[in-house]
Amino acid sequence: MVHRTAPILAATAALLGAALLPTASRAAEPLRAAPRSALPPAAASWLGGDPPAKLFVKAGRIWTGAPEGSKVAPYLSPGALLIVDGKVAEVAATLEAPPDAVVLDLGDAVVMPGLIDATTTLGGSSDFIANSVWKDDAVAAHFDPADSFDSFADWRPTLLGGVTTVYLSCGERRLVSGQGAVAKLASRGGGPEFLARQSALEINLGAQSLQPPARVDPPLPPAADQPILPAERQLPTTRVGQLLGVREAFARARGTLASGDLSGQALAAAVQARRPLRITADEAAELLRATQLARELGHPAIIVGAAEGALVADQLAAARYPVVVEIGLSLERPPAERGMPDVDAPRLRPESAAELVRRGVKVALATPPGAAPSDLLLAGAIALRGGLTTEQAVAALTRVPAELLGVGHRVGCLMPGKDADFVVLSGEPFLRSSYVQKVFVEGRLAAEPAAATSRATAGRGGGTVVIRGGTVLTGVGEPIRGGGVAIRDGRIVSVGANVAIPPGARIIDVGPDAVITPGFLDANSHLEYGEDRTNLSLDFDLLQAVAGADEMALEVARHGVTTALVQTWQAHQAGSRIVALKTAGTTRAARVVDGLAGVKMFWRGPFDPLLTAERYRGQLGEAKRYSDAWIKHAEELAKWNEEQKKKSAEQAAAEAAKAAEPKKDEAPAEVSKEKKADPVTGKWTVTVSGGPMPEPMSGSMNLKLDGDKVSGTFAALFGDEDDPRNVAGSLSGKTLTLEIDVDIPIGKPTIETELDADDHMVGKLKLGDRFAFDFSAVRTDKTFVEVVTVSKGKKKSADGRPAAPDLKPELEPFRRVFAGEIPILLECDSAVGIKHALKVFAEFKVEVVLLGADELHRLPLADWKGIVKGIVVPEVIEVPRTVAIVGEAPAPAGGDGPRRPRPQGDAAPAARPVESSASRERWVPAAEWSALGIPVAFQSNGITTARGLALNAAYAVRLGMDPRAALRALTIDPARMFHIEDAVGSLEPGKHGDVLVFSGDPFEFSSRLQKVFVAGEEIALEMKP
Amino acid sequence: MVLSSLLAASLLAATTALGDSAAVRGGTILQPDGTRIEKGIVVIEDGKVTAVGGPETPIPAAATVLEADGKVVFPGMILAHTQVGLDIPNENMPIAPFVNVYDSIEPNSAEYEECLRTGITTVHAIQGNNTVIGGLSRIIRPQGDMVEYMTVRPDYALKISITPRNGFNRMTQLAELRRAFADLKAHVDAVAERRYEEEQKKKEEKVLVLPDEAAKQGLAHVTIDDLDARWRTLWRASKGEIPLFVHCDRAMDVSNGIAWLREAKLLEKAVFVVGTEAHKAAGALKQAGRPVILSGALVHKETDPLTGKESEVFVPKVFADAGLPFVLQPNGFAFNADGLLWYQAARCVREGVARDVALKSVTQWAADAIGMGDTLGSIAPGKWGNVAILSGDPLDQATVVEKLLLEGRLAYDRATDRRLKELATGQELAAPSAEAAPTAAPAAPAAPAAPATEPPAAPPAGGGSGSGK
Repeated sequence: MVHRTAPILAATAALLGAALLPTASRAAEPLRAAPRSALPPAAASWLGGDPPAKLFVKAGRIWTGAPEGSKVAPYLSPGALLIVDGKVAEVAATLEAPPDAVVLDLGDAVVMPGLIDATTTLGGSSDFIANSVWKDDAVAAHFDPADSFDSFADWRPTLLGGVTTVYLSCGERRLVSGQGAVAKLASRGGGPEFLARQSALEINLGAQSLQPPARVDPPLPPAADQPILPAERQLPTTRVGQLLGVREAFARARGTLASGDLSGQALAAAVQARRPLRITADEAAELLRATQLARELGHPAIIVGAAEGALVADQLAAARYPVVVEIGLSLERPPAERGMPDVDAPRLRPESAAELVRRGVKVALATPPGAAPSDLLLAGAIALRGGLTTEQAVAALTRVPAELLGVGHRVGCLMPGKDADFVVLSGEPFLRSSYVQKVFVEGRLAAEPAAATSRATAGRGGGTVVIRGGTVLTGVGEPIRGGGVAIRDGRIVSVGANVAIPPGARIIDVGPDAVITPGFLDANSHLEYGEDRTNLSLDFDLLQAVAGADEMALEVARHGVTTALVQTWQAHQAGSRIVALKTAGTTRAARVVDGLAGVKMFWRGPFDPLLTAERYRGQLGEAKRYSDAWIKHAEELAKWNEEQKKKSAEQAAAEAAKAAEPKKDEAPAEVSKEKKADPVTGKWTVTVSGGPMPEPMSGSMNLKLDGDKVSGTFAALFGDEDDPRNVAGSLSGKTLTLEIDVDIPIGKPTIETELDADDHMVGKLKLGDRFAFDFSAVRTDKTFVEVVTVSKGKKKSADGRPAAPDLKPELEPFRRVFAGEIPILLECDSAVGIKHALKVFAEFKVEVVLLGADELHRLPLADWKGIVKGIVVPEVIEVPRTVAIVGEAPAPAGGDGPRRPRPQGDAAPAARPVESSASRERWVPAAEWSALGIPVAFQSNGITTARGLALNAAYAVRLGMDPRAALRALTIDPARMFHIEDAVGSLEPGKHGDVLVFSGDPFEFSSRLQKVFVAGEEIALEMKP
Repeated sequence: MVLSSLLAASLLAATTALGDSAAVRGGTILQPDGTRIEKGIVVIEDGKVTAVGGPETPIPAAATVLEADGKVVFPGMILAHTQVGLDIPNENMPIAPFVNVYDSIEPNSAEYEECLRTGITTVHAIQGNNTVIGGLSRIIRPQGDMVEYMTVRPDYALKISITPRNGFNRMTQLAELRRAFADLKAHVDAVAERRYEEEQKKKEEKVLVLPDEAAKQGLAHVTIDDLDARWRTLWRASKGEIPLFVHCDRAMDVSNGIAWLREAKLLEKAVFVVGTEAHKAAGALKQAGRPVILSGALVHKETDPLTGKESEVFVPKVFADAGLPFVLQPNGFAFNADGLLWYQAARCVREGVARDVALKSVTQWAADAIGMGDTLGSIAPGKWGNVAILSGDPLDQATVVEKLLLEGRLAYDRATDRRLKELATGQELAAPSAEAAPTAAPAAPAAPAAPATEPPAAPPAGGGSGSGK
């Protein structure tokens, strides 16, 4: 397998010797041999389903990890992979997909081989046992991290960092800490798999292995001839001691070993097999010692750590050992552990990797022990900071560590015959904004980030789309070069240069030439009405008929119009509704921006403007009265509620006062002043006590005396104020007998009382013949209050509660007009009509937007500029007009008859233009009005003719309209006219995510609309067949 | 052993409260597999059940008849792995095969009385889980003033833990386990060498061989008394003479445990004591074919690292669905409902496990796990007379134990339960006098085969449990 590789590889292979060849050639090991899959398959249900036999992968870019000079290029753009039974069969720039293969088209994603982390502590570490009373040796070659690797654990978080294969290291605390293993975190069968066990002997020359704890071996039981000896110090305590300790251990291993010496036996096996040594060293001096030791011991070696490798790069290069450079997120080494000697931690130089690579050393990048392997890509990026190229960094994370760990025959690059372990990234591997989209191991989907709605990614960017690049025209403010828009949940969350990108966001790079604009608005659309030209009156609510966007609406959306002001073809005489809808969206709720965005009114021609004005005045007057009536009602109701609250408080206070008063003899004066009142009728406060009740209970009752019949309601013990019970009975003399209409098993309750004094009665309330309560009542009010039992709601009483005005659906929209919330869209062709209409509207102080307004130019600007909020220009951009001299009519030449007063706007006869072709000119209302500072909007006045809205605007710009004003006319100005600018019309945070991406200036005819987003959802620009 | 046999001889003559034979008449006999005998009769003679049947079953004339009309007769339940009554569960030393639970048992512990009160007749007292090699266990009955009188089987099983002990991780735990056996081998080899030399001295021709060869040849002459006392238990275990109770809390530990046991050729002697995550290794456990004892927590909770979603698995259901026999333990002891063994079985039924599976998990399978499947675990002729008379169905929360028979003797009677009466009435009652003791000397029957399995002799009359402090 070695012969196919490049010369440099062959040299290193020769150096590293037999240990790098496949397992078969390794010497037999007395300790456990390494079966390929020593672990039972984990019952992990989180892995993808059965992988297909043939998988064909297409991607925008593929990093293959192949070495220089091999048949496969290291970087393919675009690229394709064919995977058969979990192994790469073919890889090239373009390939034919076999007919029986499952095709995976990754778009413009980046594919790279699964990363290999050459140092991890996923198998725990063989650090000294805390609080142990046991012999803990500094030289312990028998530790095996494969014992503690958890094959049942969920390794997806590590896989999602792009790492598919790891070396399980034994730790740095012991001088010889064990022999590590290489594991894949997933496999074609599902669970993790060991690729190699006991693959390298670990020697630690760093500061961490100095001063191990003393060794204690107490005899059990201690006796005079077997005393407890003091703990013995063990090597290494100094740097020299480290080298001495290793040499001693090796010497012991070559001699006879006691049968209980597991470490010695393990070391002997390693020596016999000439297993590679992994020597951990960070400082410059340590690194030199490491190379010296490796040479002395005669084993192949790998130098691990090499934080200060840049300082001794030449010597390391001369020694020709491969190096694993450990890079953590902090540029310092991890802080000293407790119990460790207090030494200065060596400072990581990010240029170490680059310096070594430049001198031809094989360098692999890894995360430091204790760090999360999922940060390995970031380690690669930091190495770039130190001077590595992207290609070198990719190799240092994939192919080189695979070869170092002796598993290069299976993993490390995407070349024919290797395992198909690859990572799908959203962008180039070392960019901050790139993230892992999918991880495949042996052709099986091993991990992908959780769905956007999950808790883990919610609020962290899941479901966010970021569109960036080019120029952003927000519709308000200045253009932003190189900016971006971030959309989440259909709303814009941020806009600006260098917009913040949450992790996991989908990034759409549009390129430097593109222009990003808000979605366009069509100020007059008939989308939902179709060809139905009925004049529907104001009480017709179109919303009931709105459903998900149909093909016509989507067609409009595809051409950039994202919001349409939908209205009837022609307004009803009394007005019609205008509804603001989105042109895309699957539900009504998603499409409605405003159910009532305006009232469309139509002013018939120039005939009899005064009559028409009167009619309008009347109509608006009625509407205003209606609106005012409602406003007044609202005020009165509020006032009445206030009074009721105060009154009930007073009443309650009064009742309380009355109840607190001692029962007094009724003043005869009262009797003499008024005529003798009805002894029963009125409101009574009731007290029920005794019997089985622990405390007296009070309530109320209302009674009415009619002859000798008594009726009313009862609310004490049975019923309550809001839901009293009916009561009926009779009065004979001073005895009042009542029966309460309550259904209980022992019979209806009865009250028998004596009117012993005015406004007072006392007696008994009986329930059948079993219970009797003491009953007394005091009258508080002599008027009978008709209590109508209303189900749990406000009681309606005749106490002057203001009655609501009758609801008139056809006038309801005008309430919002008079409140200033929506405009009246006036469609009027004639200048006369406009003039009179505006006068009427001005009287009523409503906002007016003119639709069409072909003859508006014949009115003096001053007359209408203050009243008209905006103009929706005709759908034909360039219209002919008759030049009129606007202003005062010049004095007639010569005297003539009495001058008939003419309505302003008609030119004076002397100045009446001659209707000749020469005096007709073509003008662009959009350009002219916007030049005068009046907001304009574009309309389609059709169903799908809105397709041409953007082109119309471009034409207007060509004819002289200011492009900035043109963009405003498509976006924010119509939004402001119809008061929907809080939802649409510009790219500002909080508004709908309606975004258009043009390939260039939107008003250049050569520009193409590349992307359309409505509420954050991209609209496919190709029509479905 | 000598002492116990003397006591046995002296006490065989002692009269028991129930005599040498007893019968339970009139109750519904409920077997763990679910079969019922209405108005059944159980005849116990000399501590063993001799007859089980319907109302027409003949009762010996001399038998004391216990009326159980309207009650349910159920076998006594078994705690197959517990630290009940021990003073501390584990020693500080990770490798302590020489520790014996005999030293830890407190016979007068109220926990044993509670066992009787809740229907448990056999207890396997064993070291706790915080160890590497914990020590030797003992099967006891929860009644007796001295450990000898409680013992059913002494020196029964060796406790081993694959799950790391405090301060260890899996790597160091397994390394220590292997080192213990390696040290044992070193010691045995040294002894074997010495024995070989001794044997050689006896012979005419001395054959000088290398130490390795000497060790191999001398092994045949090594007896247990030659070994240092610290290593004897471990040597017996390594030869497969005693069962191993292997604690594997997590699925990975089960995997490692099975691998180590196979390597050491001790899988056939192993009983697995597993935690809730081991449900993921149900397949491996089934394949290993050894008894499985489940920890007291029956529900496994896990949080998905990516979505944060929590999931819960009811582990006995997983085992039951996989057809894997399992044994239940109480969770903690007596302060919560799941500290009661029947409650754990009732939870299983609630979660969908078949009733007979739940009942077997606390009776027959528990007996199988402690190697006494043919003497305990159900009411059948030939098995020991460990019978509970319950006021209702064993899995009903309103049921109480009315009477409990331990090998044919009345070991517990709710009517005379002094502690219960004190609790109910709030008064302190006088301790019962020696003569009035309802439970008298148990004349225990001989247990089958092996040495040290004979239940030792009874306590003197007037002792007995229920009479605590």
